[in-house]
Amino acid sequence: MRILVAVDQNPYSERVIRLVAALAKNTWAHVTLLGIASDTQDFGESQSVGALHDLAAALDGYRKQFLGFFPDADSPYGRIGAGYRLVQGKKDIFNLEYPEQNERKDLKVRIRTGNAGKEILAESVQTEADLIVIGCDSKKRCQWPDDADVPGKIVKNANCSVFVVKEEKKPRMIDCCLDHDTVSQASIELINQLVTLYQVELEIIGLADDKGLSADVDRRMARILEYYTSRNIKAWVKIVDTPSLNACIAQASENNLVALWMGKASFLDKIFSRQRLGHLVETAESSVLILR
Amino acid sequence: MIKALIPIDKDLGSSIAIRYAGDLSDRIHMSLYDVHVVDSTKAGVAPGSGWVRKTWENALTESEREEIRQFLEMEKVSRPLLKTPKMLFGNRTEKLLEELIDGQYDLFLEGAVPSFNPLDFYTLIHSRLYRQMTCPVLVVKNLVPPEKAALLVTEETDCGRFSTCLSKIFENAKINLDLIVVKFLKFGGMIQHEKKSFNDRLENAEKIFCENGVIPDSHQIIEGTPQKVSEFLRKYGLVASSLMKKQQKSDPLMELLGRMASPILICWD
Repeated sequence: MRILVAVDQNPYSERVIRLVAALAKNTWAHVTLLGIASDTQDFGESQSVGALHDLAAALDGYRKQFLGFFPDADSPYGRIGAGYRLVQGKKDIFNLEYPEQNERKDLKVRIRTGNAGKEILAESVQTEADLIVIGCDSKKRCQWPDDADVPGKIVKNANCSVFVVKEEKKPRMIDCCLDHDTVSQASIELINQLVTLYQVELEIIGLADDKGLSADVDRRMARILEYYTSRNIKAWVKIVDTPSLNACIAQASENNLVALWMGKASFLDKIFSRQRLGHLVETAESSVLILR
Repeated sequence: MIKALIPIDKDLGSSIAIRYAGDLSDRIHMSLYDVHVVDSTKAGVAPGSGWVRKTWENALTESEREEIRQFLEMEKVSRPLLKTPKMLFGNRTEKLLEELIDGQYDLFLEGAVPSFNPLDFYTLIHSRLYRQMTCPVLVVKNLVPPEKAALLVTEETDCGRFSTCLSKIFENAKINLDLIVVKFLKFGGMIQHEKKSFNDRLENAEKIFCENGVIPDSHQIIEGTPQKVSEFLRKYGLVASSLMKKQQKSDPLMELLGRMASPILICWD
């Protein structure tokens, strides 16, 4: 698995690092830490160079924080070691390079300059990320101070799964909503990891149309339930009809981590429009996971 | 030993019910009888009558027998409990009611995946099948280990009838039983009263339950809205309640049972 972690210099990004480190401990995922510098900065100017180096220092701090979760000498992500060199790669892309980079799993640290939303999406394509993890503050409608709607834009436009981490507090439950039978094994396992991480119960919500739950979704739910129960995960099932979906998700997002399985041919993708996804990210009290 | 009828279809509800019934039969003395009804109301228009119609019905039945056999094969991986079910052809409600009477079953057990809308449970309870059924019903909403059961008592519960119904099911059962007196509130959170705050209702209920051989392991009073009480009861692998067949839609007990995620054992009042 490849995880792209989009961070800025606000406290919620530290929460994201802790969560991704815990996730990486179980999955040994390749990880990229990405910071975005505003494209209005002219790096020829000494003030802007200072801002770039401040961001690089913050990212280096996040890297150290991440590696702190892997104290063993044989950590697959390498060791904290010596300092970094800020090396400009392609235009407007800066890499933090470390002398000992012979780790078995990638832990890349990178800065892109430009529009935050676009650059995070571009990086996710370039690194072929399976999951983008991004933090925000639920008390501020999940807005980034420097570029307000970044989490919403990522959720709406990313082609891979996106995890918007809002609160440090443990969710009461993980609510997974699906309406189609093409759920990938990787996303099922990601949910498994989150259940293990948070030590919470799981609820699998099937979306029914006016004819009820389709046979495909019914079968898929049965198999997913079997997968989790065979791993001693307490999993509940529930059916929600299309008109009640918004109410159901709004209620769940007060205390639970909401995960939506959005397949390419997903009815959920059609009725739960990208605009509404942005609204969900803004208004949910707890974290939101979009599985694609 | 109680005799339980479990209708099998090829769906999630049946899958949950089969597995739950397997776990439950390890804890209570129960023999399971499975049945599948080839629902004539969904099979389309019968071609002709007499021999032609009979041949058509037999062909449908054989086809579904094979599908159900394959379905049960998959379930048997975890629970080799059920044999090939008895196959019936006709209106599902009528056939199940006939089977319940002919077989003199003590319990009807079926899977029903819970819905976000609690009114769906009201619709189930008011279905013809449930209205005309005389034996207790176990509605398996989820697959949870039946280690601990909550026996709900409200102001309206006839404790004598309820405990008599439960005594047969829980005779020598390996399940912890918690007697819970529920007082419904319209608003607010939930209050739990420990043993020291016993009131007359709880003492009286406990006495009647013990007289009928249902000995609770613990007891408490809880007060709250149906939603809060249903969240509290989520920790139970089985929730037993008495219920009137004409229970109103707006009744808080009906709302509570509609919101419950755990399996519900209903004794008709």
